[in-house]
Amino acid sequence: MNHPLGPLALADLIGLDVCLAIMKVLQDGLDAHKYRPAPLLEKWSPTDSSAGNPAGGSMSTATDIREQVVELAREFAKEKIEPFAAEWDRTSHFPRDVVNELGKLGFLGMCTPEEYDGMALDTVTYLMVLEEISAADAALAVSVGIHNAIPTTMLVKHGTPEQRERWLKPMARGEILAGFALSEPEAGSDAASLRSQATKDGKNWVLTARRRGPRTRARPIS
Amino acid sequence: MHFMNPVPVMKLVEVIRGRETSDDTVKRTVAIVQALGKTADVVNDSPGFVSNRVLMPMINEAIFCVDEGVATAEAVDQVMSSA
Repeated sequence: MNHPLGPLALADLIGLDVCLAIMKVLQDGLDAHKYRPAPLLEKWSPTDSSAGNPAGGSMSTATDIREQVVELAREFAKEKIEPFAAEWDRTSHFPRDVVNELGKLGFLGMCTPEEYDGMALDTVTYLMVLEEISAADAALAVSVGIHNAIPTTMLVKHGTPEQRERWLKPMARGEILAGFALSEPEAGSDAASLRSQATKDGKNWVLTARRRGPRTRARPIS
Repeated sequence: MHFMNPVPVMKLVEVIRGRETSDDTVKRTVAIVQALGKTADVVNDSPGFVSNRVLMPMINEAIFCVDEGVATAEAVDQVMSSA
């Protein structure tokens, strides 16, 4: 492949869990023992006991609910997004009114548990909705996807009860659009290489970071 | 279109032809890849396509090498990379 990285450094870059998942696809798809994952790869891969939903919610969504939710997304995307997407691209317009409407329909709380006003959908349903929005406007789908997956997941999994109470409900209702301040000059979009640090200085937190402009900027949308 | 990691460095893009993909779609997709300044290779749809089908077993074998004490991770990477 004339690759600049060795196979193990490359595996780190791709993600060991992704490598393991691809080996399993090869093993199942081609039905061949030669593609069995190395035991050490299985041991090294981060396992997630709550893999059913990115935010650790429900493991599966009933078929009829899935169909209804995806149909709603398809109709909304066809009427309210697709006809305008090219113009938004041309004029660098971010349609916060449309995001607001998506929030009212529940699409900004797809993975959020019901107790925080979310829909608690499973990963497949969530991805099918993103697929419908992407078909109309890929850029808008990225904003919706980041909001649902990254900040929501972090708060559900690692937030304090107070943080969850304060942020998850308005996020799930679409009153707040959350972003992910990711890019650093040396790390690009490789989240594992980020060097930003938050240290406590008495009562305050001091954030030490170098950044490029993040891709999605959080701002109130109501 | 299947881009290779790390995307800014790797020139190659696999263009996947599915069973129902028309020649016109393939032609236009290859043109998009070329317009991005990258090289297109057209392959048929199959699990892992070509890149992951060949690359992942190599990564897997590299991990076996480390596990069996054949070499350290650093040595395996140095043997196999062009750097």
